[in-house]
Amino acid sequence: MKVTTECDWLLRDGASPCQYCPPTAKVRQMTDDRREQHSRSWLGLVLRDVQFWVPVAVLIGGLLVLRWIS
Amino acid sequence: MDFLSAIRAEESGGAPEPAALDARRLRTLQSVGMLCGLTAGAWLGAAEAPTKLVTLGLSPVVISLGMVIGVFLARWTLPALIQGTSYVAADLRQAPHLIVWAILAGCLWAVANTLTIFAVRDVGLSIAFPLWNSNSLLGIFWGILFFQELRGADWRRWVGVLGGAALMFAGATALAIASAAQVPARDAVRGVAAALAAGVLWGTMYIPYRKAYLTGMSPLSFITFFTVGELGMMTALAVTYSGGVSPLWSQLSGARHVLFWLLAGGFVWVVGDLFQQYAVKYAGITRGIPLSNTNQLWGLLWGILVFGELHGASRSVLSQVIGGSIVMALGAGVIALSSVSRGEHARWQRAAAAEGKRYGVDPEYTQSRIAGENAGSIVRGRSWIDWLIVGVATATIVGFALVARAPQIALAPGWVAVLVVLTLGMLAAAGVSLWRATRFN
Repeated sequence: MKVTTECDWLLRDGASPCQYCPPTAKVRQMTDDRREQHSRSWLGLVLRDVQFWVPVAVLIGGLLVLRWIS
Repeated sequence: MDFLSAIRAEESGGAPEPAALDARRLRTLQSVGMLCGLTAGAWLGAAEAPTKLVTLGLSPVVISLGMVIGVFLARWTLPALIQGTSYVAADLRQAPHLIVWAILAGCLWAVANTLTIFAVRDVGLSIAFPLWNSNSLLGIFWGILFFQELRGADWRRWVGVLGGAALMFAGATALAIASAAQVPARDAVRGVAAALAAGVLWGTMYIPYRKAYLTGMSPLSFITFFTVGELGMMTALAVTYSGGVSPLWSQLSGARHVLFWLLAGGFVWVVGDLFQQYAVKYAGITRGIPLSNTNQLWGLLWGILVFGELHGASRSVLSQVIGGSIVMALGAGVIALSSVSRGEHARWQRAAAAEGKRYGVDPEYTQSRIAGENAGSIVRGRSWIDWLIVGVATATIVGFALVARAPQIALAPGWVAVLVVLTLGMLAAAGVSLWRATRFN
């Protein structure tokens, strides 16, 4: 699990949430640097997304059918 | 984050648990989504009318390309007019990866549209239409598999959506058989393959749609790049099937007197498609797409009432038309009543959070947009670029209108007026509701 709050380190180790997480625990925001890094690599993220290859495969199949029937 | 949320976050790929929408807001978004789906049906059906005015003798690929040129103009003009290109650019900066998805969806649409032309040629409309209309069933399947749609819904909603889609499919089949021209089958196997492939392509096209709208993108932003894929792929297909650029150009030049009607058809089609996209965003694929498939009913109304189709048809054909229409309307009604519950919407939000996390999209942007609200960092405003786009598109359409010939076809002007008023009324109702509820986000 991705760590998003100060207490998630503790949660990951199996601790009870009420034992370690004060209600004031701050959520760590994604930094601008991290977001920029994401933006730079969005093409790689698309290519690694399994759902992307479903429409690509269907498109290739459609073009092959079109070639066959015409 | 409590322990339950942590487990749910684990299920959704580690994305933080989004706050649930309140019941009233959810009902509003659902109603708007359903209304958009029905309006999409009316406008997509009306888009067939201008293409009927085109005299026969044009190549099907040229007809399709002419419409896509109109589509391209409309897909840039409407966003520029409604939100401004600065809004579109800001939207794309939030989720640049969706440009690839939009272009891919446009390519899928263009190939599917070309396949339908071959399918109608080879097996006729009566067989081809129900086969490619199966796209909504495939869309429902992808919605359930990839985007958590219908998860967390009770059995009545499952029965409502799946039963309604099956009813619409049966009604569409009856209508297609009744309204089909008696086209002799040329090559049944190839025609059936083309129609089925078109259905699979269109059904799969809803994956990029849903992906974009779960992330939070406005349909007005998505369509600007969707149409790049659409026009690019359609041009490539038209060049290939016309035998090169020069033969295609000469065919287009020869058709300049009727191109305006094709462009007009494309423009009307875009309005319908835009509402279809909002329906997918706010009602989901499982409800939005079957509702927008009522376009067949509207196409039939235009054909029968305005163009005098089925004039002198036998009693059995007419009863098939009436029966098919009633079954289709019933199916649409059943789906419209199967609104999304809070439990199901919470699953959508989790899918959206996971999607945002995967691509590093600002969670605040995703969360506010899925609720139909404006993301704080994005402002609206029109600049000279917007007016330039609108001006060029208008000049192009006016230019084609000036060289267009009046159609030599018998029309029933009274029914034209009735259907135009009805269609515009639905546009006004859906447009105002959408603006009030979401500001076109």
